[in-house]
Amino acid sequence: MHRDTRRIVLAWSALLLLLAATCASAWLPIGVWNGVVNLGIAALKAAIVAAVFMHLGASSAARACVGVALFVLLLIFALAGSDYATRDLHPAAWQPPPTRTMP
Amino acid sequence: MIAAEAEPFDDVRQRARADTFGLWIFLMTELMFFGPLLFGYWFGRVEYAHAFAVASRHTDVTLGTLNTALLLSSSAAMAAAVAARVRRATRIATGLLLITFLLGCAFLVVKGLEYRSEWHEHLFPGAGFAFAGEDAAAVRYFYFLYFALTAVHALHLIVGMTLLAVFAIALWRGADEFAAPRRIELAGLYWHFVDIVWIFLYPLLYLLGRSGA
Amino acid sequence: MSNGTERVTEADNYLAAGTTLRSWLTTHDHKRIALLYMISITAFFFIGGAAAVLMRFELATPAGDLVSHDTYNKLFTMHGVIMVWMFLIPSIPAGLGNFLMPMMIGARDLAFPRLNLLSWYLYVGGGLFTVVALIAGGADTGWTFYAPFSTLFSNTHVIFVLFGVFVVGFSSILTGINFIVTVHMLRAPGLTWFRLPLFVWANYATSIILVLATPVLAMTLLLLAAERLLGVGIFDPALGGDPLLFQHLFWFYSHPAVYIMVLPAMGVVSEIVPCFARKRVYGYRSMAYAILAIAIIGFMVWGHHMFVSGQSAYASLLFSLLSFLVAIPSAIKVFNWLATLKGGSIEFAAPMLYALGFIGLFTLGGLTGLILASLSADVHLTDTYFVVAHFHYIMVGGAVMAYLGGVHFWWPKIIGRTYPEMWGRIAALIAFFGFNLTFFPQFLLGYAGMPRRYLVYPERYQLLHVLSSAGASILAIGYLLPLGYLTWSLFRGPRASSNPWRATGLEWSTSSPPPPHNFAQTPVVTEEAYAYDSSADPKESRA
Repeated sequence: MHRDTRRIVLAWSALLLLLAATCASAWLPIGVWNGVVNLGIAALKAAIVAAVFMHLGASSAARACVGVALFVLLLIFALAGSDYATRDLHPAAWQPPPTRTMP
Repeated sequence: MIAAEAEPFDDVRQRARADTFGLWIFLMTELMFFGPLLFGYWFGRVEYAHAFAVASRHTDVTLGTLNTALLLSSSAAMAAAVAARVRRATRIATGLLLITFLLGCAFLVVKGLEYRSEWHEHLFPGAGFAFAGEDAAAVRYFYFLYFALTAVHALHLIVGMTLLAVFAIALWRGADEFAAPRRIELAGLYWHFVDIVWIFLYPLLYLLGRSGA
Repeated sequence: MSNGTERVTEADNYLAAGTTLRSWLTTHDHKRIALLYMISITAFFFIGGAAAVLMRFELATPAGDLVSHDTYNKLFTMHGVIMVWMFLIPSIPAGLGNFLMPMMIGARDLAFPRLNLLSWYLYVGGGLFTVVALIAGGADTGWTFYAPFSTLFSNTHVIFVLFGVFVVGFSSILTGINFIVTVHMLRAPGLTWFRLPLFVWANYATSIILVLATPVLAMTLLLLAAERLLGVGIFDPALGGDPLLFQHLFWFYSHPAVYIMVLPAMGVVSEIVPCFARKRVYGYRSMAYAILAIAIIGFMVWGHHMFVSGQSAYASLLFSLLSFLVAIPSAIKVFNWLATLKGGSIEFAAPMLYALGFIGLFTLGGLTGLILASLSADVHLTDTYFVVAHFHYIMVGGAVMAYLGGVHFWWPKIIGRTYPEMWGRIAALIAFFGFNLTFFPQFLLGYAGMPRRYLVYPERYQLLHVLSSAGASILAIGYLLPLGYLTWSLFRGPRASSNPWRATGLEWSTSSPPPPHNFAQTPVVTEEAYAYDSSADPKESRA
């Protein structure tokens, strides 16, 4: 019982510390690395929640679910991203949208 | 004799494993549900990097950080509630479920305050949007994603809170079978997932461009 | 073991266990839910078919003389919406799959029976809502809802139709979750993964696609509604958005959706062919791996719908290559079916006619898919009738034929009566002939430049259109006949034995119709699937 509570309190403290870290680091002038650091810390927080609170480590079925889903989600970013990365967008000037008569 | 409550499984332990597996698959469908919004965000961030930074600086980072702390704490409370329920410490579990619920309420209140001030600043997408400064179109795009992401997240949070309230009340009334440890665990998994979504939304929406770069 | 042709008693028969409407509408029995699905699917099929009939009537003449341009747009939109989401996607998984999946693995029901019932209600609710939207005027955007027409310009009930589809999507997600957990956790002792019938493999892979792709569609439709209602601008270039973003998100679901439609059909064919060739499936493992490969690679090819819409040439190249790759596992499956047939003792029963039709028509449809996947050819062929013919060869020549084949194959098991075999064969042949007469001319039309979604056309295309419309009327007969004789057999068909086709598979070891809980005792599996031409081959009609 105490073991459980201890693990939860430790995880909670880690999460709050990481929150402070990510917030503070956002003001450091490190350019594009801000995003990298912030998303990295977010991933770490998520991993702590998943491992300690959701017991992801205990279930290979759950890990398989997460792995497959993340892979497929990444496909959108990779393949649609390849389209956006290799084509120029020329946004039109701001125009008010046309009016319509029906919802 | 096959336990009726385990049907069509042979025993309740197998039934519990199946429920957990089913819920994880459901959580992955939720991940894919958020997917297009996240990709839309990424498209905007890459295409309109400067405007996105401007827009993100306009969000209330104090309230956003507070909200993140509230949700992280609620996850800890939820995990403790599940652990308590599993070891049959029913009163403690009820109390922790209540705390989790209240932390969720606090989150919604803070979010409501943010929405209210953003409404007054004319940042809601639609005909009333107004933003002084260049890149207004891209800022508007950021704010659409901001509202879409946080609103969909909040809806999921409300569903979770409803579950918590139902189970807390059931436990308090002694309906131990209805609020079985297995079910509280499942509710916990859902709650933690909603927390993880916010863990990513926070840096994406609140911390972009803070260093002024 | 029950006696075959005697009347099955009430306790042994899921159809007789409870005869009130309420017992049907509140059932947890996967077999009853499957029947509920099959009835509603049939209704939607004929509604979508009616739209097609009107379209083919209109297209028999070059002028737009039967319906107005706006009405024609609404017809092809509703035809597509209803056929894709309310017929094709649920037909084999939720219709046949709900019935067969637990039985094929020796289980008493799916993992989540109540979720199964909920999924049917969501399906009917969403479908009815869409039909109401149709009656109120429908949408005219095409089933693909492309922005900016759907978001800025269309003056029809777009959001109503979107909502109907949105609700139906959740129905398929729940089915997918149910199937995945069922296959993982409810297999009978001895039933290892590589002893599963290929129908189970096919529906398992389909379920993975269902749970991962459908939520993307759900969000995309919501974004479309937000754009239309709030004018937020994500898909509007004038407001900084990108209409291609919609297409990426839409096709990310809708391409895997076609594999949702065709994989279960392949599963059906893999059950029918070995039975009526009296031979094991050739290359069982490669068939199973091919199913998985189609599902996985199928997630990576969606950009081939966007070759001419402004997608970058480099991304188009990548999608074209991946589209060629996905043809490989499909071809492996066709080769393996042919290899199964070779040297078998073929019986041309009605289900087999449908399955053979599938193999031929799917092959032709698939090959034309490769043509379309070639970038330079697609520039000429995109948005022409060539594309229309291609996907109808797969969806109708493939999936619908397989669905009908499966319905005929498992009809004795599901209903406990046999249909008239001669009529079954006649209908299959009429449908095959009618199908080819309808859609082969469309390849020629498309190659000659006839655009899709147009109701007026130059006179020089009329002959091919008339042939196509004539074919459609024959195809309609091919579909109405089974409606007739299958309904007749419900009441007057001879009682079926438990295994009239002498097929392998756990479902055939139960009575026809099966008892409510399928198996009195959980079966133990000791042999591979498709144990034809072995000592375990069911050579005589099981009494």
